[in-house]
Amino acid sequence: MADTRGATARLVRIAGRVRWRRLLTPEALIIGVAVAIVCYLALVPLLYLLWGTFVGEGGGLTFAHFQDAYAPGTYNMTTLVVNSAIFALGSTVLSVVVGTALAYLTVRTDVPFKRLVFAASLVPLIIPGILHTIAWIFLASPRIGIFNHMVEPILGPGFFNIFSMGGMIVVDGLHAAPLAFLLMYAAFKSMDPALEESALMSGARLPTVLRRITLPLVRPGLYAAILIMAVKALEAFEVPALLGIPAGIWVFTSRIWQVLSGFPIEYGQAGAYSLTLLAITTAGVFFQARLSRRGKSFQTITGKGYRPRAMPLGRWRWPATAAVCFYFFVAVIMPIGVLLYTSTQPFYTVPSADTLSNMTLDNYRYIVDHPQAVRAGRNSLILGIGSATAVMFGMAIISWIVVRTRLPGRWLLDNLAFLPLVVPGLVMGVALLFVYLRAPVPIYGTLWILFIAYLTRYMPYGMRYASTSMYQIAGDLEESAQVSGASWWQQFRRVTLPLLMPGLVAGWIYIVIVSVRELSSSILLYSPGNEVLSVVIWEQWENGQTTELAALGMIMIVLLVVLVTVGARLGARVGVRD
Amino acid sequence: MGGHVRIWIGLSAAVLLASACSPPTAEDEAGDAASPGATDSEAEPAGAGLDNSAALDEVYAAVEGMTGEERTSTLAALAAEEDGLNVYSSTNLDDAAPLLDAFEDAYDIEPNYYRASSSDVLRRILQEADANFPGNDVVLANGPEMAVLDGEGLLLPLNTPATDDIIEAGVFDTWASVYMNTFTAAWNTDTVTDPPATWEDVLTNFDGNLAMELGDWDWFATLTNNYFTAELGMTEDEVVEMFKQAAAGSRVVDGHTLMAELLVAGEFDMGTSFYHHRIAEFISEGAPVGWDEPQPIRPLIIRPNGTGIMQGVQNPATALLWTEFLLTDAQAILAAEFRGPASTAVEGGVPPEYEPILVDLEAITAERDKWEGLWTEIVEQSGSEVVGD
Repeated sequence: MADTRGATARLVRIAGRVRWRRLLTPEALIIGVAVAIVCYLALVPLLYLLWGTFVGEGGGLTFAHFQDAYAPGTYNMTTLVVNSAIFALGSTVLSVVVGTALAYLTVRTDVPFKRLVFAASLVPLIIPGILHTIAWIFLASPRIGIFNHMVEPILGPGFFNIFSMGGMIVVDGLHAAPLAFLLMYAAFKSMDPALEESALMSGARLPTVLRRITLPLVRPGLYAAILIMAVKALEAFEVPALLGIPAGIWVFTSRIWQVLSGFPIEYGQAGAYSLTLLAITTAGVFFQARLSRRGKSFQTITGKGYRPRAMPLGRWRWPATAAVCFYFFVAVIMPIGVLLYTSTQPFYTVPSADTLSNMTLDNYRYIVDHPQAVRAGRNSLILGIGSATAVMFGMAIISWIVVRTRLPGRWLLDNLAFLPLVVPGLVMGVALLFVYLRAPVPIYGTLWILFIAYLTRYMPYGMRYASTSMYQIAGDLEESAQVSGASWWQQFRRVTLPLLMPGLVAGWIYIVIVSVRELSSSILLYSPGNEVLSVVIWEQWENGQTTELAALGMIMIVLLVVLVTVGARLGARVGVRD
Repeated sequence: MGGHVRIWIGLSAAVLLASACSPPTAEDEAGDAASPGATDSEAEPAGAGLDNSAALDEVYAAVEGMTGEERTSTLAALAAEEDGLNVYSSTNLDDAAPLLDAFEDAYDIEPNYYRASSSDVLRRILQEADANFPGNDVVLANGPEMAVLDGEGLLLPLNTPATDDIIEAGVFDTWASVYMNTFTAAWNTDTVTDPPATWEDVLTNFDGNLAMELGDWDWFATLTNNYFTAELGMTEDEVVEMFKQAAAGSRVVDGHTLMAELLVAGEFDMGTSFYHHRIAEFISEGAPVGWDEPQPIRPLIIRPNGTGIMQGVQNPATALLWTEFLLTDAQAILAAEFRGPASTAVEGGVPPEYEPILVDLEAITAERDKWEGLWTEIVEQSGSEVVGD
């Protein structure tokens, strides 16, 4: 009996060792490292934020910062909340509607000039936020706005007023629309049109197909777009500062700016506001995950034959083309036109025959000769491409864990990856300074600290892009690969990644573009020799060199459009082809 | 099932890895100088372990009693044995480049120049000091930020004959003014044909066409204390009320730069506080903007930008050489860039007959909360209806 027990115990031990060895696979290692990195990146600013908000002077728990932040003071909290809500809602609706419509037309229909539509859709995103807002002041301010000059004979003076809630919503919504466009572009790209075609063949009209088939199928992407847009709008600073404050419209971010710009610097109060945003976002992530996970209802990429194909718009083709043209005129051509004009002037005045005859290329010459511009451009490019690639690869793995596995706590992982979105850039910068000035890793004063900052800041976007696509891919393709003897890594590399590619490329493009503009963390973390482009842009802005800044903006638009087009081409080679 | 166990193994590895290199937590930092929760003013005297004042004292001793060429060449010889110079500064690169070039030409030392806004420079220095990290040897920033650094005990005493020519009100124990930022009212000459003569005119005659700046609390405090209260005998409440009325019909703009751009573009007629050097540049470029024809709005408010040597200075001789260079040879270069030199030996900036008033840094630093609060109340009136309209 004892012998049997001993033999059994030995067998269990051997089996344990065998299983243990089987568990230490590359799969576990890759997943483990990816999760560790996400936890680390997300927890650094979060712990800093929590510590700064809830730990008082003596080291005890305190709610004083919350009390200070929400104390009834000179400003009216109800107005602040209402203003923020209206602004976020309006901007979200506009950006999601415009972005989705453009993405649908580009991917799923036979609307003309598709390549142009793709590149041009991204232009508002490339223009630095300050410059985009200023271009709109020049276009639609009551006194000097070009639009107002155009309609004055018919509608009277000052018809458009950019310094208003409506103006704020339009400018922020149009600036954010490319983000929604890219998210929805990926979602539509990963959609098998078979269901739409069946509906059309059964006699359904195009609007019905759109409403009943197409949009429900891309719901994960739509929810992601709505969530990310709403949080972004709640966090937007440039538009509320430049357009809202002159009109007396104050929002949350104006308040955060105030508490961070005074002395003593109230990190605790800023933390209290950020944690409020965090609570709202966490609820959003939770509901989005629940809504998106309803079984297999969104999975259109299955083991069946799958060919993304464009649908004929029929008689809707020309109205759709007209709508696209109108969008480009308002959101792309006019702002770029104003910037182009500004970049050729010594200072901005309303265009006239006089000013048009005084055009000069001095501003471009200044940028090219700028001691830091070229080096900063190179650093930004390295950081942008590096962080975008790392984020999208890492988030592909994380989204696989969140969407594909049944691990308890995966929802928390999803939320962790989303969390840095609500930490204001400045607080993130201070948190990283705090950590890496003390950590035994010598990255302070190098490009690496910026790299870590960018990884952290753009992880949430990468996660949305990757998981949106992941929701649309059925697990059976991966299972087939496994049944055929593929290892996890082979299956992930040869099946999952190529199918995810539209989402990964869209996310990559977005991160490359926005990382070039990132300022609030960069300005605290850069060191002489490691300047980035956004620091140079800020420098121009601080010096009052709007015209030089416009020239730099034009150069950036051209370079990034080229980069993005090349990136999209390369991505398309790896992904599923039309 | 096996897959999940494997993933959990991965997760456990992750947690181990994460905890191995986790960020400093409450425990780690308990004994440290400052917690992130504490506001910076609550921190212990920062950088306590980084007091390098002895090294600077040695340099002071080596050049004791020396002046002119002898002093400079001694300092330059000592600096040659050091490892460059790290400057944190809020002076923009365009203005700083000629200074950096001139310094390099003279002493063959190329300073590492970190440039950010004054408040970001302050944030970075405070964070580095808390972590005992000597990031910079010298700092060049706005007066209020220099006063904060001085109050935090982060600057070393400044003993140099180079301050002899600097205006008296601009010299302090640990730092000295390098140049003056002058704030002036300005107007668009295309739309304002009959410019105002007094501050009262500016604040009452431009309903709907006046611009104010969002962060101008120190300008407002100085104007209230030294003009409206001291010279016109108004009470503080009366001044605040007058500004609130003006703000109600005005545009509040975030940034002096944007305010100047929009004034030139014709978005409003009049603005209360522009950098004088920026307006002077606009005028030299032919922009339709004016500030002193037929007369400037008196008094003009000036705020010094100053330099000081850090407590943790790593290159003390170079730091002193640079500081003395800024206070002497650099003054003429700054004057050529429309910056008001702090040296009385160099002409430039705003003519003295315009009676500029220097911001009272000590009073303002002591009462910062009060003035920031009042200014916030004022600018929040922007866009609302003017009472009595």
